[in-house]
Amino acid sequence: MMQSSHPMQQSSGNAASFPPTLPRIQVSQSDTANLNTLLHQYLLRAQEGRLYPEIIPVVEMECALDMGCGAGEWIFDMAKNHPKLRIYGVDVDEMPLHRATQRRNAKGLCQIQLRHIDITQPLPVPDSFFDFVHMRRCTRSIAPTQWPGVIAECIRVLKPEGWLVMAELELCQISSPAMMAIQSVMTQARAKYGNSMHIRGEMTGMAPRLYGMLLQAQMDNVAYDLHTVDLGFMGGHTARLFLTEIIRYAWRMRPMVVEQQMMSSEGFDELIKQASSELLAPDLCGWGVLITAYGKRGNT
Amino acid sequence: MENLHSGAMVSVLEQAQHHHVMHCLEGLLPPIIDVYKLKQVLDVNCHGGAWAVELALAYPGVMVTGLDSDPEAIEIARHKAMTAKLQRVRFYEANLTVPLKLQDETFDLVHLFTSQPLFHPNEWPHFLHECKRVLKPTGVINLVNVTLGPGSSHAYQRFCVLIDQLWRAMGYGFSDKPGTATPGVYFVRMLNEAGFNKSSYDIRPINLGGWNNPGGKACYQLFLKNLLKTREPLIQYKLISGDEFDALIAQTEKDILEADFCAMVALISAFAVKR
Repeated sequence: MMQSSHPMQQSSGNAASFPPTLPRIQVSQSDTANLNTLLHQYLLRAQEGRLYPEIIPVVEMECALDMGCGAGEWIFDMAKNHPKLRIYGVDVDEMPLHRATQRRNAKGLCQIQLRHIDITQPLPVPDSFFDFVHMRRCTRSIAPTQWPGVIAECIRVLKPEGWLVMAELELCQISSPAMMAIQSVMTQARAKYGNSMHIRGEMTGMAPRLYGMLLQAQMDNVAYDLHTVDLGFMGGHTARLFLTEIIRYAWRMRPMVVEQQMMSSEGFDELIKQASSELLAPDLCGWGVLITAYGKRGNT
Repeated sequence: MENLHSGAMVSVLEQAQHHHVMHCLEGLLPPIIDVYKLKQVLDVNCHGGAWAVELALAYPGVMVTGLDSDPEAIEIARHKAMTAKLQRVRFYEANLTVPLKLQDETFDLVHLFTSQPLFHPNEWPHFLHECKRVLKPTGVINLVNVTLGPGSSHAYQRFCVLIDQLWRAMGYGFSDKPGTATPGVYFVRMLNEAGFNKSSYDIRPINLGGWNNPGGKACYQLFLKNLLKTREPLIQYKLISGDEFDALIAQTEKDILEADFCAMVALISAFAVKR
């Protein structure tokens, strides 16, 4: 992914450990191990501790699927709350999936099954198999044009009256101008690669469209919940970690931004540097929104 | 939506928006404020007085002073207070960018609600110092800002960007970067810089779409009504042509009626104490 060499990158010695200048938000060893857990808890806190919308009768369910399960944070929490529920997790990314498998084996949780699967492809699962399909933060691995197909697959593997839940995050505003500029450049870059619902690339815009897509797919009881995500100082350490993760992601997009001639590499580096220091402000304030759209498969 | 332009309709929408917003905030005041100790309240940028009148009705011991730069809004507010037979609410027209004609250490609470930038970044410090001056030593300040969030309508999102560009072109931006023209996320910083203490904030979503959401729809219609006012300045700053604007407005009005309409704004409520 990263082709160009960069002085700051060399000084840190390891491209993977890059954030160029995040002096005091350096992610510590224990943080790296717990990053997924922390981010999961952070989003869960925004969702008022609910792993799924209240309307969904999980107690009566037998079998659930988590699409894009990552390191399985949601799955392990579900397993804890619902010991009889069989839960399948699939992800295209092998590293976190491997961690999830280790954790599953260490805990001896037979109710959990994990598979390495590209969720943008047809699922190797028979029709009407699951009571519940869950997805969270998958916009990075699914292109906008792929969404209707992915949703159709989810519905196919759902039993009649089974529930589909999709939660996506949209970053909105933060009191760091450089961070706002990075967001704007990134969405424009994604738009140029056709990875944005929004023609001008002003926003990725996936989150507010999920509701419409579930309606389009003719699901029943379609609705959505809104939860704001605190990105400011009151969001605590995890909010900073979360923002750091976004900056790392932006950094990985750097070759794309430069290639598209949206910004010079120096200009982009300067922005990242500026954002990294602005995010340390003790009075940082900002927010994003988690939109959870859900619906029930009809009886037919 | 022709009737959007009539004053009565606007008043109805403002009332609906007020109720929806208060529902989302779970009350008229942030929980840190002890309402039973409130005696004198200043409502800056009070518009048609919806908040001021409701506060006075809810708490019989409270005196409310409302200020707004728009004489028409003051008329509506006075009428509202008269209809409610309230003696404890006064409304005055006032220029908020010059020293307020109010005595030092008068109020227990200064409240401000705005969906517009209201002040240029260099005017905020002066305004906040004025708020501090008129607050009693134990007084509390509460600033509430509505900021636009994502939506499923392209036209709506396009307007979000256009408004940001317009406000920055008019000098309301907190930087030259996109998305920095709404003051809400800068409240805490500005309160700290003005010497307030114990500053904190609370951010809540307001749903504008979905089904069975008349309050959200009213908020959205009010947003559209305010959008119409940006037509001339947007053209003047060459951000859009008149025809393009009209087409975009028509599209936005159409999109809200669609079953799959999903959009939200957020309320950023910042509070701090003087001492």
